[in-house]
Amino acid sequence: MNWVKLLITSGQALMQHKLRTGLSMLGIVFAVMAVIAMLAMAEGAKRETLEQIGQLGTQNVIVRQAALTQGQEAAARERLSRGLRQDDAALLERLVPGVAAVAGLKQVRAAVAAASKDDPLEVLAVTAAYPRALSLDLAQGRFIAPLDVLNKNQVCVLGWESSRLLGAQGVLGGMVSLEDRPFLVVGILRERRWVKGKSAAIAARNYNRAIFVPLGAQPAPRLGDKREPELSEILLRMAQAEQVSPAAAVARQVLMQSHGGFEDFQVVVPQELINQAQRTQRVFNVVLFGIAGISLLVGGIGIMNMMLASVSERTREIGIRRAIGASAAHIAAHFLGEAVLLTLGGGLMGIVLGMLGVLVINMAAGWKSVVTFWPVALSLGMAVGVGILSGLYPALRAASLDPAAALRHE
Amino acid sequence: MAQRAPLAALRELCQDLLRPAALPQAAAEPPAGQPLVLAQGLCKFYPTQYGQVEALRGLDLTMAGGEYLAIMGASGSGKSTLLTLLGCLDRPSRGSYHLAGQDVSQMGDRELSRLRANHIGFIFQTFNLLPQLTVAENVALPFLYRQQSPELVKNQVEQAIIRVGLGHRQDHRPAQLSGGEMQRVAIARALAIKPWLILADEPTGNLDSQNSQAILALFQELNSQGVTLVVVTHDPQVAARAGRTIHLLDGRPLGAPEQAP
Ligand SMILES: Nc1ncnc2c1ncn2[C@@H]1O[C@H](COP(=O)(O)OP(=O)(O)OP(=O)(O)O)[C@@H](O)[C@H]1O
Ligand SMILES: [Mg+2]
Repeated sequence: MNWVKLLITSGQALMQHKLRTGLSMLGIVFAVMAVIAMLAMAEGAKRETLEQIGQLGTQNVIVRQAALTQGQEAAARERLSRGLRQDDAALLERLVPGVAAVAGLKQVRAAVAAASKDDPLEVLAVTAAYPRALSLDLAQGRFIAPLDVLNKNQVCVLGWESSRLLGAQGVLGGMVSLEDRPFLVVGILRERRWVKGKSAAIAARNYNRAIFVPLGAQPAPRLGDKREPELSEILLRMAQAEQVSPAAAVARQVLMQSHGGFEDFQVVVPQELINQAQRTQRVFNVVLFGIAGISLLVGGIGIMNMMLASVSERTREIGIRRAIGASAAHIAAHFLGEAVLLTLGGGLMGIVLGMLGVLVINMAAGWKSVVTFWPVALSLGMAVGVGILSGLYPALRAASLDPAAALRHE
Repeated sequence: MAQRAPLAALRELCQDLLRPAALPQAAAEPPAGQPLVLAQGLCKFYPTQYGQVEALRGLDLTMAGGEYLAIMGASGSGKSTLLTLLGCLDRPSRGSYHLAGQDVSQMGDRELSRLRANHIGFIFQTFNLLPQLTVAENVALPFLYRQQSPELVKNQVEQAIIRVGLGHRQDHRPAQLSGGEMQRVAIARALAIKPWLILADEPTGNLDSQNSQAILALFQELNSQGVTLVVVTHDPQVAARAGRTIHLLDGRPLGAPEQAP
């Protein structure tokens, strides 16, 4: 059989009834369009989430000091818990198996001279292991050394944007004043990509706007400020990614003990957040494909209906074609070809319209939806599948017509 | 309408596609040394819900290449049924039919179709052109179902159209033609494949006498050029042009002895 010629014949038959063809295509067009657009949005959202979570470090376990209500604070005092402390960090380093580095961090509320009040820079008091845990890269100078922490040296390391904002002071060897105390700039970080987090649990710090000082060297809290825990965050860097979950469990137990059984902290495992996000995504995809499947089914039934009507309408033509040499297989190929061309065309149109829709939505809403290869391939595959399924029965009916009887048909 | 179950059709189709092709080769000329048409005890029964209709009840027919045969008979006597059998559109219920030495009664759908595509031209009372196609496209239609180089197809199609005198209407659609012209397009479509056998079922039934005369003249001209023709007709004038006439009555040639069914 000459498949190309047969397909062309099928295409010509479709072109003969453009309106009918177009209308019966619509179901497939919309189904595919919805799949493409929604999967693109889902994919964009997923990538964004994963990127955000990824910023926290997939090999890390993060222990955060919880924000306590007054009642909780009283309870904590009762149990003799003083929140996250450097002792906790030391304990975790000793007791959690597979830990490569432990870093402590304290968020410091301090006025930075020369920085704008509305958009303050973040002062972070950290231990020397901190940059390793987060893979911070230096552009110039050095990071805070263990000795700086020990001696409470008045030095600081600037994030890329902080350095720019501080102007003449924000250069290597410059002096940055925090709460009127001068800190010597010993290092400047390279610029780092940062995505604003959607929720507090996955929010990552913007290190570009940070000023790092040695833990303990930070200006003391002002008078009248309430007492704060020694650390706001302990970061555990694991040697291997698989160790994060068991390490998180151990860390939790250790801290519960040292905090007198009061849970005034929160253990965050970015890798688990990622897994969770992916699970949610999968559920969403299954639901989406269910909906798309139903629309395709409905579209397919419409096409089948149209094809069946077309077969009986063209019975005479089938008889003529049979008389001049078409075999049953030729006739089946004609009609099957029509159904597949119809759904394939609908699928292609759906893909193009879906992509256009994604573009428009991205521009209008500022989203980062992305059309990836798989949804496109899958939609086309499904469209062709629907064409074959909905065309097969009409094609077989056409093929099984008795040629002589079809010729007699009025 | 007669319709086999689609599932049976699917099975037949798959078998047809899977069977190694024992297909007759497309020879330009029928093999010499045997009759072109050899039918013996040809029967065709149609099962209906009211019982079996015996459309053809034992017919012997032998035709040599180049013959011009007319078939006459009352309505319902089995003329069209005979043509569908001779034209390999259907297999006989009983009896045998050899076309140029090949046993048609044993062939599957694919082989029958191949025979029709390569060697048989049909002409109908109602012309049976496809209205959406132009004259040239209609004439080229049989070539969709056989293998041939495009240049050759173009050539043969053009020749056939010129031969029936419609060279100037190649791009017209059937709706723009008169009945006589449409029938000539149908003749061109049958001629284009250079068939062994042309079968015409009341070709002048829908035409006025002037157009009928023209078509008959064309038949005679084709026959004189060696084309084998079978024409079914009610019109004695048409039959008079043929070299031989057989009369059917109730599915049997007139004068043939009664056979046990
Ligand atoms: N598919 C079929 N199913 C049942 N009966 C059929 C079928 N085809 C033909 N017949 C019957 O077979 C008989 C012969 O039909 P056929 O069409 O061959 O007659 P015909 O000689 O061509 O008649 P006409 O001159 O009216 O065309 C008729 O009685 C017809 O009803
Ligand atoms: Mg008839």
